[in-house]
Amino acid sequence: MPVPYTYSLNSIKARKSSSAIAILCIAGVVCVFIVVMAMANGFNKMLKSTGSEDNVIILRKGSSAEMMSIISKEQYKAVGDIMFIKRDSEGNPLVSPEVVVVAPFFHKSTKTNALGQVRGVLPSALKVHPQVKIIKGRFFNEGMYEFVVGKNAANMYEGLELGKEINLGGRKFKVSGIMESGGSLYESEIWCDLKLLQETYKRPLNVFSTMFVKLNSKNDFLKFKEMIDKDPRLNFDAKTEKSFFEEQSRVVTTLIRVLGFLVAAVMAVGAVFAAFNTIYTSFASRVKELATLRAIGFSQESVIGTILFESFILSLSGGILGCLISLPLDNFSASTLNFQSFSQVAFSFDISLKLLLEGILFALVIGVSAGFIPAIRSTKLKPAQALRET
Amino acid sequence: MKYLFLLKANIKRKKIRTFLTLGSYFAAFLLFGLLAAIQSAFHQGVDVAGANRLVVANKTSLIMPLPLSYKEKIAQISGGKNVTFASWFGGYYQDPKNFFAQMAVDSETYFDVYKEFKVDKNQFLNFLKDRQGCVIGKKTAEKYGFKIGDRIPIIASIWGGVWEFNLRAIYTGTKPEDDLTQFLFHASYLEERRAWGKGMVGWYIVETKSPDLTYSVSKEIDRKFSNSSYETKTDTEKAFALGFVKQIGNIELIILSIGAIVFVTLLLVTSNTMEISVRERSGEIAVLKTIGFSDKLLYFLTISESLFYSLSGGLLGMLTAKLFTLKGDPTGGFLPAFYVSSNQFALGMFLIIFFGFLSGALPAYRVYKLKIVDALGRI
Repeated sequence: MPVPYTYSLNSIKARKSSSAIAILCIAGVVCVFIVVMAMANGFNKMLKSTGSEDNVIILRKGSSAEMMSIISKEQYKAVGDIMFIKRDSEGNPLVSPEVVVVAPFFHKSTKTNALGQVRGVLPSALKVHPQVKIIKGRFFNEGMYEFVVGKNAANMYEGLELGKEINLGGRKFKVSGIMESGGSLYESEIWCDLKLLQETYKRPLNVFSTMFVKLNSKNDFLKFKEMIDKDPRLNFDAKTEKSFFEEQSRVVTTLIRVLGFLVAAVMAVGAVFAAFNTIYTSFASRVKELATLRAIGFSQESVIGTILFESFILSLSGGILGCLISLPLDNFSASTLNFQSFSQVAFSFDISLKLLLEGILFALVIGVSAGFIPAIRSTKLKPAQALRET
Repeated sequence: MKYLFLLKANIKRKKIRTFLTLGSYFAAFLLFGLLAAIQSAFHQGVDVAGANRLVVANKTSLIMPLPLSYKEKIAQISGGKNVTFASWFGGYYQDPKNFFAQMAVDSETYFDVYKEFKVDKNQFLNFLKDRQGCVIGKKTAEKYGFKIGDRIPIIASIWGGVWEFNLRAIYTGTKPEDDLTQFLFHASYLEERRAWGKGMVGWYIVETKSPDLTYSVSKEIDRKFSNSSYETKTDTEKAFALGFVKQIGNIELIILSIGAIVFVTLLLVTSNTMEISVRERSGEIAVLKTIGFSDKLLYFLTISESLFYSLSGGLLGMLTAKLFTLKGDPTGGFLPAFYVSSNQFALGMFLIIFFGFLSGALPAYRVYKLKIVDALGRI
């Protein structure tokens, strides 16, 4: 006959402090697991979504950041004539000349001015960057002092909420919309009208920083690059958007991957030790009680069953608690420095249902296996012997 | 000491539990050591900042250049002692993964400003004589096995092509946090070979006559170049580095705070284990008291046991962390200083002893107060 399940439940209730510690401890393990994974997921999502492979960025040779690059209007026109560029329904090539500058904005969490990247584009830029979606408000109107602010930039800096006005280079810009682009680097940027940005920064109107080009197919990239390299008028580097942004974030990626992994690995080991320790200790000190169960006639299997059931309940509640604690951190935005352009980039923690379930599974594996050792040990002892133990 | 066998018997009583407790302490302090190293890595620039050094950068952004002609103008400002400059070269050796900072510097003056870098006099003269000469920090030289006289090809990702340098000197530091990973060469060589950007440098470093003058000199420099097409932003080296740390953002804070939570949880668990293990042997303790062991002695023994766990597990953890950091920077070059400082090590030791006491204190107090009749009467 199995031990009634109420026995396990009552036992958890009876040992309030040690049950609470076990649950808290497992909740901590799960919470750390989820947060670390959510950070890694969010960061990877930003990297993955930033670059599409059929988009090509063109920079002056040797520019390690967009704002260092210079492209003249004649060169821009020459690029537009190259084959392999996708055309819209009216036959215009899908190229987007862009001006990139950095400007100080007040960073909410570090409470200092941090450099944010401001990108001046033509309204038609959305055709080249189709992943950019307006989630609130609207895109800027041509010729208006308006900002479209990336979702992360809006969270990161003060005064970039929809409808607010903010000063840039002596001009007041009004936030007309908030944009999203699947977690990409653009979400850390602020976009506005190309000409107005050139004027505000007293730049000549026939000079851009970089240009983006949409190709017919990503297979055309090498051929397109060859055309650029061969043209004597163009001292340009062409890179796919994807590889460019990967280069841009190489330092940050390495820092986060290596340090995050290192710390997470040690933490996971520590957390497993802690969870094991609590569950194991709580059962190991109950040898007598378990022997009593055997003495009054319950079978070996049902005693093992009750131990495992109890650790299952403990780890399940710990797992759920851990998920609940970590949930508010969903979409929490972490920001750091882009070491190539020295401007801020941000990404959001991404907690998915799958991750939560994995967290609970992780808790159950640790909890139940920690209950296993005392369960097996309890079977090795004869009831009479165990009852005599001090 | 004659009670050592008692201590030993208690420790060996439940081997798995002892193992788990030691393991928890080990993991906690390994984590502590690593977090300490990460913290020093992020703050390296702040720790080495010279009190009387100023960094003059382009007002728009550090990555924008300044004209070479500013050197003379800055040198005229009273209160300044030495002026030097550097430009980021941004290349790599063999593979982009082999990262170390390469800078084209004003070779005559650079080491006058960075006095903490020590170079052998003869080696330095050889460097000055060789147009393609370079000076490398000890750490980078050791990592890649570079020897004096070696020809080192650097692939220039910004300027294009392969640039070859002759290793003429190796510099060492004076403090453990000094950045010994830099690769320095003549700015004149960069100027001669690059196709564009001529006449520009990355940033200037100014040494003032005394730390009191930094404020006035920095204001004077920025005033001098205001309303020019290359405006400057001058900061003390410390403020510059701190600004940098702030820009790196809350990543450091996130790592450190998660680590701290785990650290505290682990210690909570070990003290709980100690508590349970003492409760379990209350009968035995009562017997010891009956045969004449004093309350104080038993109190002392319990604390010692707890200290044993924390010291052996914790020390092992700290030492493992230390060993790990001796292997150098795990990111392959992005963190020039990755080390556990002696202050941090001392703090770790203090925490080990403190938590050893703390987790033993409550159970020990229980042992101290234990009444023989109660304990023996309990089933």
